Amino acid sequence: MILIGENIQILSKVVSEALSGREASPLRELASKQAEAGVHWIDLNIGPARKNPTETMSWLVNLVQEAVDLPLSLDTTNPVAMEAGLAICRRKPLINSAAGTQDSKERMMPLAKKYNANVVISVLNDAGIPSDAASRAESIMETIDYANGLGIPTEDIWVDPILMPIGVSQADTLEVLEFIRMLPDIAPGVKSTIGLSNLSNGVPRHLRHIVNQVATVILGNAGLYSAIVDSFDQDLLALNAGEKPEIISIILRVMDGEDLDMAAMSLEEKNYYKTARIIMGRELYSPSWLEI
Amino acid sequence: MLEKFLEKYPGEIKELLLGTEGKKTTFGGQNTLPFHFFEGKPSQLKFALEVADSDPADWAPGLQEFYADVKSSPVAWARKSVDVFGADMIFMTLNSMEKDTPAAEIAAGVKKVAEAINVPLVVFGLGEKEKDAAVLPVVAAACSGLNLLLGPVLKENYQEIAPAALEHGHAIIAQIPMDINLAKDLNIRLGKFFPLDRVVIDPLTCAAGYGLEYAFSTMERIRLSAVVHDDKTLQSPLIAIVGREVWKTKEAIQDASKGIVWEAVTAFTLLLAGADIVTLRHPESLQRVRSLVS
Repeated sequence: MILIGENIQILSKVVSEALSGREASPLRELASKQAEAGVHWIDLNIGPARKNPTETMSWLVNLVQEAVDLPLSLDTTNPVAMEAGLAICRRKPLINSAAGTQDSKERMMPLAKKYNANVVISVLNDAGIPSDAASRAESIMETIDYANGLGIPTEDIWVDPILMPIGVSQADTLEVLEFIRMLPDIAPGVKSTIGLSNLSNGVPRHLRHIVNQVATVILGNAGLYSAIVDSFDQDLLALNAGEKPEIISIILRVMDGEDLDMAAMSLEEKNYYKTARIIMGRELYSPSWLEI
Repeated sequence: MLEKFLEKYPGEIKELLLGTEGKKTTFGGQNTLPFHFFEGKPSQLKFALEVADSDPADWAPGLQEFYADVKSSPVAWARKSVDVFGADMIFMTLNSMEKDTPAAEIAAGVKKVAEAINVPLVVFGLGEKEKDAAVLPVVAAACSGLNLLLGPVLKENYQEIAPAALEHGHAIIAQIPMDINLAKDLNIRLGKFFPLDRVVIDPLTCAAGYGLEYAFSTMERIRLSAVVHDDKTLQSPLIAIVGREVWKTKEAIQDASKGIVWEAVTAFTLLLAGADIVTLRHPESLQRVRSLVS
C-alpha cells in the first residue's frame, strides 16, 4: 500500500505550538524523519485553521517542500486554507478531504478540478456515515458521479470508506472490508485510502500499534490502495513492505477463516493472531484481548 | 420433526449457587436464549425485593408509605418481603454508607438480615469506588461463609473487593457502564484470580422511557456472545437493578400505581433481554411479572 504519513497533525502539541509560533525546525524535522522512515506522502493536518488560514497553510507547505521531495496531502476542513496550499504545491497534491455533503461538494470538490489535484472523497454524506457496505457503495457512487460531473477524472479520486474505532463497532470493520473488495467492480479506476489509526482510537495506548499493524496487512490484502498511518511505527512499515512473512501468513489465514493452534506460536505470533481475530470479528473485542 | 428447526447453541451460562444449607438458591445454568424453553435448559429467573439498611429517605413517597410498618427495621422489612411478599432473594442496599456509618456497624446489620431470612442475600454498596472498597470487604469478613452476592465491583476497585469475597466464600457482581467490551474486560481481569462461575454481571440499566433500549441491547449482546458465540468470558448470569431506576422517575414518584406498572414493564423487558435476577421495590410488580413469565 501507498503510505501517507500522519505525524504532522494539529492534535500533536509539538505541531500545534510550532504552527502557532511559526517555528520551522520541529516541522521540518518531522517531515524529514517521516521521509526517512519510508512513507510515500506527507499529510499536513492543520485542522479548521480559523486564524490566518492562507498564511498558515502556505507557510507550512513551503517549508515542508524545502525539506522533503514527497508529494503532499493537504488536510484541512477549511477551503480557504486548502486553496492556498494547492496553489503552491510543486508536486500534484492530494486534497484530504472532500465528501458527499452539500457543503463539501460546493466548496471543497471544485478545488480539485481548478488545481488538477487528487482528492480524497469519503463516504460521508448529509445523512451521516453509512452503516454497511451497500450504503457506503450507494453514497460513494453518487458522489463520484458528482465529482466526474465537475470534470475530476476518476483516477484522481481516492475513496475513503471511513474506518470506525474497533471499540465502537467491530462489525463496521467487516463492512469496510467488504466495501473495499467491491470497489474495483462498482467504480473501476478509483483509488482508495483510509484513516487507519482511527481503528485503534480508544484502545489502550500501548496496544494501538499492534491493531494498526494487523489492520495494515488486512486492508492491504483486501485491495486498499493507500492508508494514512503513523510513519514512526516501524513494524507497520515493515509489514507493509512484506517483511515478517510468517506474521503476515498468520494474519492472512485468520482472514481466510482458519482457526490456528496457538500452542506452537511464539508470544509475538500469538499477539498478532489474537489481534487479527479481533479485527476480523472472530472474537469479541475487549481492552484486554491479548490477555486471554 | 420440530427438532430440525431448533437451534443447539455451543455456550452455557454458569450456574451459580447462593446461600447456605436450608436457604440455597441456584440461578443461571441456561444453554439457550431467554424464554426459548423449547430449545434447551432455560434460566431459573429470580425476583429480588430491595431493602434499605437504614431509613430510605430518598425513596418515592408511595413506597415509604407502603413500607411504613417495617422501613425502620431492615430485619422486619426483609422478613416481610420474603414471608409475605414471596421474594426469591433480598437485595439489600447499604444506604447507611451515605452517612459514613462505621463499616463494622454496617456489616453487623447485614449479618443480622442474612441470618433472619431463609433466602439468599444480595448486598449492594453505593457504587462509589473508594467507599465500597472500604466497606464491602468488612461485610465479606463479618458474613464469612454465608455465601452472599456482593457488589458492585468495578474496574476501579475489583482488586480490593474481589479477594475478600473469595476468601470468605461470597459471589460478586461485576458492574460496567452499558458496554459489552468493558464487561468482557472486567471478567478477564477478574478471571485471573476469581472463579468466573461466582460472578454476576450488572451492565447497568435504565427505566422504560429513560434509555431502556441501551440497557436492553447491551444485555442482549452479552447473552448472544455467551450462548450463541460461546464467549467463555461472558458466561455469567445477569442482574438488572430495576427498582432503583424506576422509582426515581417522576412518573413513579407522582403516582405509585404508575410506578408499579413501570417497574413491571421494565423488569419484564430486561428478562426478555436476558436478565437472570431482577431487583424490584414493590411486591405488586413482582407478582405481575412473575405471573407473566410462569
